[in-house]
Amino acid sequence: MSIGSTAPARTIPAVAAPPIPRRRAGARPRQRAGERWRVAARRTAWYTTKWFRQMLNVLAHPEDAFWELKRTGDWLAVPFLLALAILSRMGVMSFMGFHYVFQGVETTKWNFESLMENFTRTFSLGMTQFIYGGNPEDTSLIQEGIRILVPFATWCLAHYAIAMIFYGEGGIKDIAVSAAFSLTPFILFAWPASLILTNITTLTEKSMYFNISWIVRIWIIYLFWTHIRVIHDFTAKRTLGTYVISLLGVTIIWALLALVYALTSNTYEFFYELFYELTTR
Amino acid sequence: MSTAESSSKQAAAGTGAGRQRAGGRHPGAWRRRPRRWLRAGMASLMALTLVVASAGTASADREYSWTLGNQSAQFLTSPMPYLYDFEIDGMYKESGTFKNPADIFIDNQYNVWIADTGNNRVLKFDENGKFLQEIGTEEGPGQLNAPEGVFIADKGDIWIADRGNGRIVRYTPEGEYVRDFGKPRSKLLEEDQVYQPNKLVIDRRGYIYVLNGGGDFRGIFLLDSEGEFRGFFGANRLKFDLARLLIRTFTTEAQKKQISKILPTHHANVFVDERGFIYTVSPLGQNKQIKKLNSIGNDVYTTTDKFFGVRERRGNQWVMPQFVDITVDSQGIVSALDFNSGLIYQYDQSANLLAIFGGRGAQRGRFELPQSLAVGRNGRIYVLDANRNNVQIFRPTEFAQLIHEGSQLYYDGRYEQAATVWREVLRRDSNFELGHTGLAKAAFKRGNYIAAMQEYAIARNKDGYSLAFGEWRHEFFRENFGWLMPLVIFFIWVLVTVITRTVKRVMSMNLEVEGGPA
Repeated sequence: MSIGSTAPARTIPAVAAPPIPRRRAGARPRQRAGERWRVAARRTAWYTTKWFRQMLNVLAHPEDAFWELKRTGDWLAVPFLLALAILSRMGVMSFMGFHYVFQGVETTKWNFESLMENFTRTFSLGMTQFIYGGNPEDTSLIQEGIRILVPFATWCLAHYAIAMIFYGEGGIKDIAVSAAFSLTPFILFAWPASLILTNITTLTEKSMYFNISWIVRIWIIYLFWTHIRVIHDFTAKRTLGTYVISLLGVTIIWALLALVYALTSNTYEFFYELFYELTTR
Repeated sequence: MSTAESSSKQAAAGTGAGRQRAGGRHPGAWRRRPRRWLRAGMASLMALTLVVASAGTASADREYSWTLGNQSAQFLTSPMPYLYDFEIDGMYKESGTFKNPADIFIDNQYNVWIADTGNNRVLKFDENGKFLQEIGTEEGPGQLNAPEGVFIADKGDIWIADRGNGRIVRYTPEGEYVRDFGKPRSKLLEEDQVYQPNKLVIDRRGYIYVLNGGGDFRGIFLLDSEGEFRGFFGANRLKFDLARLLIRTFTTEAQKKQISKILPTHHANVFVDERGFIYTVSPLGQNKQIKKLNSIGNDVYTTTDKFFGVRERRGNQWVMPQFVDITVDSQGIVSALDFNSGLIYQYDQSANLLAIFGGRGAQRGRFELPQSLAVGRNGRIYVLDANRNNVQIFRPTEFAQLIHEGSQLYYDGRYEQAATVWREVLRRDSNFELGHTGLAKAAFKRGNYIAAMQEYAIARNKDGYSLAFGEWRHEFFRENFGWLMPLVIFFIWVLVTVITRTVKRVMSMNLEVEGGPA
């Protein structure tokens, strides 16, 4: 009854939703179908409102917001925000003006633009792309989803390990939830930038779009920095150290995965060929 | 009474009778007659198609070729640009057969010169394959040993790169020996320098550009008309590579010796066009394999790192194109021969791909060991095959002629005239991207920016699209500023209001209630 009511807001900040009572067989009378839908809708509205409020808090005053998130954050926010990030990425790609497709920054040349591109791409783990990653005709929702989900998962893993070593206070839940909320600027500003800017500017003015992309990504890097500092209660020096070492950890995880893949594919080939030899000789 | 009226009357009477009969006998009768007509029509149609189809297969061995889209790796079918015409070989002729020929050259009288390397001679044929002359078999100073390159100067002097003897030789137009230039001497060259000239061209100033066989990466040997060495010309360069720098910085001398030296690629062949530009091909390069060098040796063909040809995945590895020869016609259209795939790639004056044809294979119009190519009269292309020991001649189809005409007009800046040709081209091949770009340019010049944007979009020309879009935007704003500006302001006001209201509402909602979310 409270959602959308005109009652004045209380001063108490949002808290985690109370646990949903688990239904035992015969414990509660069966609800009517309409009633169940109404409950589901209300529950969705409640969570959405809560997460949206937390997102706005993260944008407005990140330190307090992340501190609050330690108490009020819930696991369910992580898939919600990641889905929104993928949606935003889809928006970026599908709203993009024809002449902007493939007009990225040349990352192999050495100038200010490429420096910013490389820096922001590295420190935001490439999760926030404002340009096409591949051939527009070959790209897919799954591929773009993986571009966000895999760096996110490895970041959480690596950062959790590093934060444990550095005696950080935050647990895996805090790490995942805060990292997901740190993507908020991308979720909120990437697709409008693509929708509006790439469709009213020509390529001579493309720096406008790319400057916005760097601002958003530097904001994200700042949010990462802040949430590491807040959730683990680190000093600035320690935060920087953890951040950089976690990034290294991500690289090491990927390198190890690549190594394991290379080795296992070789072994697979070996056994396959052995089998082939034995069966054909 | 006219025939039309009478036939309509008859038809009316017929249907009337039909209906009566149908009503009288059985209900299915009215459907029968049209069915019989239909069957007869279908039979005649099928017969016609069969005739047409068999005629089609008999007249042309292959009806279409393929080409690349603007995003490379996108294969598009296209009409056949060149068709096999006839072949030249030495069989049943005075010349005898060729043996591992290495080079073909067509002079300004359209005579065909072939460096018949395995038989230590150079042969001259006319453009239709009639044997005319043989050079280099007589004993004496003019005797050749494995010649691999032949060039005919404007006045008819014959120049031959005599690889086996390590010299270049000059003959009169009649084939009399004049003089030779042996190994050039210079401070830049070592004494034990291996000198195996295998290709040469001469520009209008009389400078001789000689390629040293065996993969000399230092560039083309530039000799003056007296045979004095004037320096290296147009060498390929290595690009900066951070990894290589690191390796070179941190390795010891002993380790460096074990690492294989990374060298720039050599030139496989060289060609000089009418205006004095030197075209070279590099067989091993990763990009810019085709170069158009001006008189000081700078590449003016492409500004970007363009990759020529097609990378092909065969099994576990990538097969790169290996360009071995290049020829340029009087319109500036470049044909380059890829040894690996046997394909001939044709590019226009600014390195846009026009057509692809040829290929490896045993049938006519394919090659086994393609070595060299040259362009003759009416754009016919002569391709020398070292394994079959023959020259296959290809004539351009109507499609190729249209493409060449269109690109010629296009690069002269006559977009309107080019547009009519491009329309013809697009009727035959709607995928032809340069044609769409040409139409877009014409529309742009007319001021029809929306049509230009549409054509640029089909051609995937993003820069052109952006330009046309900018012009359209400019025009649109100038015409509609009066009502557009208030609208934009109103829209922004609405947006700001909606966002602030939503934010306020979300921030003021009461989430802490009895029962929680449910």
